[in-house]
Amino acid sequence: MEEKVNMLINIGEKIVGKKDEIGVDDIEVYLSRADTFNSRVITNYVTVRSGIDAGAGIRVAIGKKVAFVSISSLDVDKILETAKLAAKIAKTKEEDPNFTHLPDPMRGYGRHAIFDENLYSLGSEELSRYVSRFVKETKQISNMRKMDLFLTRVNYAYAIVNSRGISVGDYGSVMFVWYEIDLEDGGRRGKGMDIYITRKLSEEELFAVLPKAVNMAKEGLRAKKPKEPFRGDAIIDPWIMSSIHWPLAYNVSALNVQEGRSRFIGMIDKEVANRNLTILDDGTLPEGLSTNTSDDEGIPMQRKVLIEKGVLKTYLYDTYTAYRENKQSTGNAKRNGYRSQPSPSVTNLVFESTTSKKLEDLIREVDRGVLLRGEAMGSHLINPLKGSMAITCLNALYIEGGEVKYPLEAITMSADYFEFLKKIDTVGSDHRITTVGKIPTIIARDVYFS
Amino acid sequence: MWDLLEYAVERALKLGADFVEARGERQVTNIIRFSNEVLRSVESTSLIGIGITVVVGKSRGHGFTGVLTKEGVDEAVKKAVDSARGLEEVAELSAEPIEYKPKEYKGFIPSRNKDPEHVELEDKIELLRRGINEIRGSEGIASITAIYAELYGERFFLNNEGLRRHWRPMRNGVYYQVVVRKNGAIGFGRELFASSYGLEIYEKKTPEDFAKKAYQSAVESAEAKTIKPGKYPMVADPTFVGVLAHESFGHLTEGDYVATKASILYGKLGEQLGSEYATIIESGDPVNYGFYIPYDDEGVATEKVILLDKGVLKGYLHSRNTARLLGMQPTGNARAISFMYPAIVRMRNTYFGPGDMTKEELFELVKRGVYTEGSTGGQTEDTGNFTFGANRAYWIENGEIAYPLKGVVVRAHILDFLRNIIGASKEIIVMSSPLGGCGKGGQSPLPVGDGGPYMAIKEALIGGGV
Repeated sequence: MEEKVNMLINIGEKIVGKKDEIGVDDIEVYLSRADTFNSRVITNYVTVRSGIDAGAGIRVAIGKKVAFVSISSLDVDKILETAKLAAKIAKTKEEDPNFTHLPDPMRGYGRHAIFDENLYSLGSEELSRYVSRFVKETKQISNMRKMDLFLTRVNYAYAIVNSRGISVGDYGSVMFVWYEIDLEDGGRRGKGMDIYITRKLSEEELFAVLPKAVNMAKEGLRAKKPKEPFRGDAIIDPWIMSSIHWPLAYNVSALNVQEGRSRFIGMIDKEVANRNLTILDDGTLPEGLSTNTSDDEGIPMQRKVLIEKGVLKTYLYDTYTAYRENKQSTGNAKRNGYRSQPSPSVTNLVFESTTSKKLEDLIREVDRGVLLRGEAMGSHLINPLKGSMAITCLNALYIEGGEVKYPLEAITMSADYFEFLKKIDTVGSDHRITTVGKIPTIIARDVYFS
Repeated sequence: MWDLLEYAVERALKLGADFVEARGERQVTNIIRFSNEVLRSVESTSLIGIGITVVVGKSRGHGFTGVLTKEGVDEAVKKAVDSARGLEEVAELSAEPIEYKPKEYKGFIPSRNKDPEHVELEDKIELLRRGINEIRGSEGIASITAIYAELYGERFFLNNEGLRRHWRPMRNGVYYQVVVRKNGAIGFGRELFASSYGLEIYEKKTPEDFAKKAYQSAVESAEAKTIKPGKYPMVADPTFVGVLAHESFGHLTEGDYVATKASILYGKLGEQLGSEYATIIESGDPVNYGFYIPYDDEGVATEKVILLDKGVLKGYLHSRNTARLLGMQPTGNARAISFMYPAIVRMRNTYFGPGDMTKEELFELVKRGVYTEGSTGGQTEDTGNFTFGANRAYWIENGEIAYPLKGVVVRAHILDFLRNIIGASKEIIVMSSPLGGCGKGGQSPLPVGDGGPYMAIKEALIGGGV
């Protein structure tokens, strides 16, 4: 993979070397290449796709005039033509008074994420075999009504070169599997799901999602309607916690703070969460999905305390927002591939444990409440400023006296998001790697269920 | 482009494909963003490439490339064929397409007098700024975000039957988001508009009006009251019911979910599922402000499909393959977000049909309940249960809007919701979205339109607002 990074750096340097011909003060070229195998199977209906998505995103600056243009090609001539278009747009644009300059190099590169040669080198034949095994094993399950499987493996490489001295890149290989199963028995339906995301493939862990999902679906077959609405404790599994992390990410973005869109304006060193809650933003976590040598504008990724014992310690900066405050970037620039310009976002969130307990023991700590797990609806409807939140969970379990009593049909947890952060007083030690970081089971006290 | 597509078809047949579709694409997306009064960014994205979908035996594979040379095409064709072969043993449902006799698109074509492809960037910036100028300095404003987004380009299609299509997709729209801080309270409002019309549409649908509406929403949101969760009668506006038509009902009619029996609507053709006011239509025709799609990504002319006719299930949405699996006709619903993805069964413009009442009569009918306007999005599970947030909500008292409500979320089962519709307005509005769209099978956001009339609902479960 290193040769692919070098190839991208080489293209970037060719373009940056033509800065004067392009006619700009500064130029940044972000190049990426993602070789993707993706299969989806709905029961017995199969779709497969495979190919390389490669391209370049170019940011140019003429004084305080900035423009961004991207193209789905790594052809040097086409990228050069695109860079000239960016220069043309910048010239016609008005100045951005908040722009200082494109990123300056920073020291501190070095940390790579886990790279699994075996995962990287799997061909479509082997990957198809994994899909086949899921399909065949699912067919053996009695009462199976529907299966939905996504299996994706991406081998990626990227590079960032700019005219202020940044020239860096990295690579990696990631697998993502989503498995969902529906069972039907005597007119009742039960649904279960599990997810596997990794930088290091373990076949044992990969195929463990199947029995976990099946067990959840079997429990769903005997689910009961919730009793009357009540207040109780919510035990929240890593996947559901991941799906509701985003209002926190939104409010700690330095861009949203600077532009008046954050609830956390002026809240540095103030309490925003429960005193038991410490959350890191760790771009150096070896197994983290967002970990790379640099962030998406070539700044070294860093490990920082975001919330310490409930107190907000920092906002998350890219260079645009950092230079605006005469600060250094925290290495949090993120892009949606070569097609978008960077803006500040979380890397890998890590919730620090308050106890060595895992799910089974955490259940014993709850007198009356609900274990929220599996699939949740409504997480993206949380209002990140007002805080209104209503999450409907389809695979929840009712807990009383420290024991699981019975599976629940759809149940909704309602809370004010900012109050909710203050109610998380227990963080378990059963962390899982998810799309947003390393997240364990947590307990939030005294929320409303209906 | 045509040369490479012809080459792709030829190569795939030589490698043993039974059926081949080659799609070429050139798509430009431009996004202009203001943050407060500062022009924060201008982004332009250009996507050019070729995708090849093959059927080998019962299995389907898709390969793609952005390298527009014969070598690039060779590699993509090989990946498509290898992918299909790799899963042939588990592909029980045949991927073979049904026979299709080409027709031409006969629906409405929006005017494109000021084609965004040929309008200068400065003019688009000024267009967006008009809204900001309208509300700048208004009381309590803490933040204004404004976005203009457009996409345009060309799609080329060729298959081994010789069917050849070429069309020019286009969409543009504006989005205003306002944050207000007033007496210690925070208010949040947003308004958006998009269509396949040229930029002349903004003479009629003005950015000033959208920005004002976003500001008013933010002010109201700061003063909004909480509603106790429970069941209430409601009136919903065209945008809110449109999202339901798409998310909660439309997906259940998609041929791939029906053919695999994953949809609860499998085997229910001819059944009465909703009230007499529940008619749902699906078309490539944008109606008014929807997304114009004359042909799908299998080259099939888009048909108008009546999914639900006065409550009775009348149809499903199909690709050529799902039509074959279910013994029906293709409807022109096979769509791909780009050349990098295979065409799968997707919606185009999905909307409730009109009723016979006015908006005022619907409020009078409900008398006391909740009025929802717009949507912040939502989610539906395949059992038909859904959760949708309202962009704005108000309490209705004596058939009139009384006060704004906070964070209203509507939860129901779609079939209960359809049965509970007790009235609909004559007027219908179908609209696209400037940046968003539909997500399915990892392909998001696919431009679509949705809408309908104002509708009165006998009872719905309202949550949120805590």
